[in-house]
Formats: sequence, C-alpha cells, structure tokens
Amino acid sequence: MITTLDHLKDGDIATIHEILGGHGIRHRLNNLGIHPKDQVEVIRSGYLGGPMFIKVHDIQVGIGQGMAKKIEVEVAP
Amino acid sequence: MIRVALVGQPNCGKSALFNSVAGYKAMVSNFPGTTIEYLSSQVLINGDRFDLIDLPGIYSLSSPESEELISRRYLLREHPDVIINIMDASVLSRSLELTLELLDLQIPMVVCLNMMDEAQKKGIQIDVDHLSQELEVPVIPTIAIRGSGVTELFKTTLDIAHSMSHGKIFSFSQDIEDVVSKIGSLAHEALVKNTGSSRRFLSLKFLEQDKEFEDQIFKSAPALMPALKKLRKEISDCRGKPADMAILSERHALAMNLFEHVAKVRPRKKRSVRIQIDKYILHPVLGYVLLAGILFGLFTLVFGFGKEVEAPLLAQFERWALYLNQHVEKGSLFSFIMNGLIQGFTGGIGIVLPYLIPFIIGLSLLEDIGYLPRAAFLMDAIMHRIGLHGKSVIPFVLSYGCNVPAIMAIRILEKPRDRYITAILATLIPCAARTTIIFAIIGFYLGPLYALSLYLFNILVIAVAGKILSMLMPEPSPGLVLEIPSYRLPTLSALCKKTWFRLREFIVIAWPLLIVGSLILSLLEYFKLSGFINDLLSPLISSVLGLPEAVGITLIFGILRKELTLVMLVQALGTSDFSVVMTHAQMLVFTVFSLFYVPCLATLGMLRSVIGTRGMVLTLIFTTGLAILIALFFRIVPVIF
Repeated sequence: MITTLDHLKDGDIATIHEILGGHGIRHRLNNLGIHPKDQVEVIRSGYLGGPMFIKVHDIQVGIGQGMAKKIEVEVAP
Repeated sequence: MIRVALVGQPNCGKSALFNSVAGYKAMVSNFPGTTIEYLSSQVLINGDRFDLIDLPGIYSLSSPESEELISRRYLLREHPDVIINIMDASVLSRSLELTLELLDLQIPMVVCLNMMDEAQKKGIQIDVDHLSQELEVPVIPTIAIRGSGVTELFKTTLDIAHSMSHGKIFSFSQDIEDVVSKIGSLAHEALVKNTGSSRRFLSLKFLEQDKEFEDQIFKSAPALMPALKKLRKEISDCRGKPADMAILSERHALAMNLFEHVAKVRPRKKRSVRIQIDKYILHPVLGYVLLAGILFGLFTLVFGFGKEVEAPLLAQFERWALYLNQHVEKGSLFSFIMNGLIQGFTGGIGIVLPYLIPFIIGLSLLEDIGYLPRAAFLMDAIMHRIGLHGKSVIPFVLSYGCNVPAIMAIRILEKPRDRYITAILATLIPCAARTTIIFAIIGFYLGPLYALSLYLFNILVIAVAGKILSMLMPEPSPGLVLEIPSYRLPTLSALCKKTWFRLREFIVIAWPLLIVGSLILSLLEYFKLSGFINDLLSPLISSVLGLPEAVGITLIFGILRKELTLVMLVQALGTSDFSVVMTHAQMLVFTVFSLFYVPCLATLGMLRSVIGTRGMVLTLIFTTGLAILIALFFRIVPVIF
C-alpha cells in the first residue's frame, strides 16, 4: 500500500517510494542520507502538528509533518 | 605554512579534532559579506606549522540553502593546500557521498576516519587500507575526542601537502559522463576560472541545477545557456527523472557500492538501548516534563550557584576598592578614573565567575551528550508559531537569568536568520537585573499582580515581535528536517577546551567594553555632566514619555548594567520612596521603558560577536523603537480610561 510518511504510526516500517517535493526538498533529504528505496522506521510519530522522529539506515532524523507529507512510502501489507 | 581546511558533515567530530590541536590562539574570523564565521588557528604539530581552518559542517557541496554553501565558497575561492575530510565512520555510506564530491575538486586530500569506536559499537567493520586504495588518498583512523590518531593524521597531511597528489575521480555511468565532458568542453576558460572550480565540477553542478553555478554561467556566458540546458534535458529525458535526481542517485549508488566493498556490517540482534531511551526522552508527555525539568535545573543551577558566589565575591572586591580609596584623594579625577575601572572590572568578574562558568559547562554538557537537538525537536511545534526553530528555546530560557550567556547560546542555531531573530527577541526578555527593577518598582508600589501581568505582557510582546520579524525575514524552507545524532558520552578534556573557548570570547569581547563604558560614566560624573545628559534626553523623557527629567541619566547608567538603573534612580530623585516623585502611571511607563530599551553593554558586546555589528545596531534600533512605542502606549492608555 502506498501512502505518505506522515500517516505512519509509532513503530511502523516502510520503504520510501518517491520524494514528491521539488529540487530543494530532494537535495535536503539526500544530504541527510534519505533516498528512494531506503527503509524508514517511525520511532515516534508527530503529535499536535509537531515533527516526527524517524530512522533511515542508522541515521535518526526529526522531520516536520509538512516535509513528511512529501515523502511517499510503501507499507508492506 | 600549510593551509589545511577541515571539511566534514555536521556532527562528524570536526570541532573535536580542531579543539584537540588548536591552542588558545584560535580566532573567530568572518567570511567577508556574511555573518557566518569560521575558526582558524595556527598550530605547531610535530614541529611543523599549520594554518588550520575549521569550516562549518556541510552534508554535501550542493545545498539548496545558500548559507550552507559557505564552506564550498571557501574551498573554491581560497584553494587550501590540503583538505582534511573528516568522516563519521558510524555513518560511513553517507559520509562517502561528500568525499566523492570533494575528490572532484582535485585538491590534495587526507581522509580522517573518525569515530571508529562508534562504528565498532554499531557493528560496522571498516577495512581502512582497502578504503585508502579505492579512494587513492591516505585514510587515517582516529578517535578525535580522545586525541588518538591525530599526530599521524597531521604527519600524513604534511606528506600530502608536499607530494600534492590528488585522489581518484569516480566516474558516473557513460551517458552522464558524456554529457559532463560535452558541457566541460563548451565552458570557456574564463567561466571555469570565475567559479574557481574545475570543468568537471562546473558541469556536475550545472546538471544538479545548483543556483549559484547557474547564476555564474548566466552572468559570464549567457549565450551558452540554451545549449547547456539542452544537454541537461538529454539526461532527464533519458533517465525519466530530473537531471539533479539522476546525479544524486548515481552518487548515492557509487557511495553504497564503495561502502559494500570496504565495510562489513554485522547485524545486531538486540535493538539499540539508545532508541529505547529516546522513546522516553521524546515522549509526547514525559518528554516535555523532562525538558521543563532540565531547563529549570540548568537555570537554578546557574543562577543559584551564581547568587551564592557573586555576593561574597563582590563584597571582597568592595573591600579592596575601599582600601585603595584610602590612598587616593577623595573626589579627585584620579579617584574617579580608578573607581570607574574597578567597577568595570568587578562587573565583569561578577558575570564571568559566578554565572558564565556554570552555564557554559551545563550547556556544553547538554550539547555533547546530544540533548540539544532533542530539545529542539520537542519545542519545534511551539516555536514554529513565531517563525522560529525549536532550538531557540534554550537562549530564551537562559535570558531570564542573564542575556549574556543567552546570546552566547545562540551559536547553537545554524542559520543567520534564526540567529538574528532569536538574538533580538532574547534581549527583550527581562534578565535577573531587570527583574529587580520590576519587583522594586512595580511589585512594591503597584502590587505583585501588576508585576506578574508585566511578565505575561512581555511574553506577548515577544511573540508578536517574533511573528513580525519572521514575516520580514521569511524562511525559505518548508519545515524542519534535523538530524538527531546518537547520544555520546562527553569527555572531560573536550568539555574543558570548549568551556575555555567560550569563556575567552566573553573576556576578550564583552569585558573590555564594560571597563571602558564604566570609565566613561565615571568621567561623566566627575565633570558633572549628568545635568547636560538629562537636558539632552529631555525631549524623549519628559515630552514623549512624561517622566521627571532627572531620570534620564539613570537610563544611561542602565545601559552599562541594568541594576544600576535602580541605584541611580535613588540618587537622581533624591529619595528611595519613588511614590513621592512619580505617580503610579509614571512608574509603569518608566519600568516598561527600562524593560525593553537597549540591552546592557556586555550583551551588546556579545551580540556584536555573534550576529555582527550590523545585527547589533539593528537590535539597538529595534529595542529602542519598541521601548518608546510600548512606553507611549502605557502612557496614553490610562489617560483614555
């Protein structure tokens, strides 16, 4: 099933399908080591519009929900 | 002397390496035209001299944000003799992407493979020799925070500087390489020279749609643009995605490939304990309780300790001053000069020893452990409402104690814009000295409820001012993306070095200002110029704000140190019962004005060092303007009702 990252819950694991944002977002995520086909784990989802805490490879990243909406992920059924 | 630039991704231990070799001669220097500074230091290692430049951490040489390009600009314009590329071995595959870009620059390079201990903990085994063969540059494993491997690193750096050997350039797929060389051959000599890079680097950056390179090509060779764009389109057509994506994923693939060649990862069975800790630390309820506790703890520690130490310390200096005064003629010019100097000097001691030292140690500890980015994460949603970053909460909280360490803490923010806004807002927060003014005037004469309301009003003003400032300086990026590094155990030596570096900044920058300022005020007193100053300020003080003319001089003293306002007020008004000379409405206007106007001299000194002279002047104008506006508001409102 394909959804966006902001919909995932605590402990969910998914594969990044596509990054929907423009040039700026692609570069920022790439710089942090987040690419399509990478596996992403949600350690803590966002509350009250706050950011979510994710792990990609061994890198932990805090990411705002606005950004998370632009990351399309594939969740294993 | 060999110029060596330290380049690495954020949190790779670059500063730890720099601090471990840089003596106390390290200087904060500014890049021309920007407010971002870098540290440079001349060091002597194994008898050889190096000019060491600690560049701001960067994830890659192509960032959509121009502030993050500072380090690239330095490399392209200044061409250091050697680059030391510091890699965090525990995130090797990502670090390799920056390394691949650096190799394209064709500057002699040494790789410093740092945090080998962390990598081992994560189960990553790196074949150092193999990595060195692949990159064709020397690779030295280090644990910079403990200083291990550092001597060998600089020995190798020296060798590389003499041999001038470059590393290997990694090739992309044939179709991309073809376009790269076509673009390279189209670019003429002057254009390549203007960018300070190589043909290959220029081509790649153009394909990555790098704004700075596009602008430069447009400026020096606009005629080339259509042909270049056509070539770029060739790639996007063929790959079915934008050219920049094609380059990024090729580089990622190269790095991953390299990583698989040189490193082995033993899968760990158990989930990392650190992730479990984060479940609590970032918990939506517990996390905030803990954050409040830590901030409150830091606050009480710093100011509780400070209060205990400051009083006896100042009393001791008072005794010495009295003793000295016995030996000079009372009321002579010399005694005024001497007392002015003593006051400025003890003023500095009164801030440095009791407050700054515990604060710097506390903040460095939180920073080294890795708590600061987590605090930023927790506060992000709230701070975002006033257009700021979550990290801004730390300077804000500290400001209630003293603005000086708060301004110093602004360095934890990376972007100049965030630094500007946070700095201006932090100076509006009532520090301990201004709190005494609020209590002694408003709390005493108008009642504690008024004092409390004034605090709430202050927060409201800050929120509104933040909103306005962030509208004036809009943020280009859509939201937070912040790497949250693993927890690390701080080491004593790194802590001491950091504390010293930060302390030195205050001693060199703010303290002299305090001494000179206090000397000038002393001379004003000697030459009996306070009447003159009052006359000068009278249009503002009595006409606009409707206050007794005599309070003008107290506000000038308040710039030196805020608590002097109160002391001087007693002297200027000739009574310690303010209600005899001022109405309650006047007291409110006076307190509000002294709450918001110009921060004290020591704060101004720190402001200048952190956000530059322009930022300091901007803060001066902004706070004074705001103070007049708000005081005027408080003067007019009671009249209406």
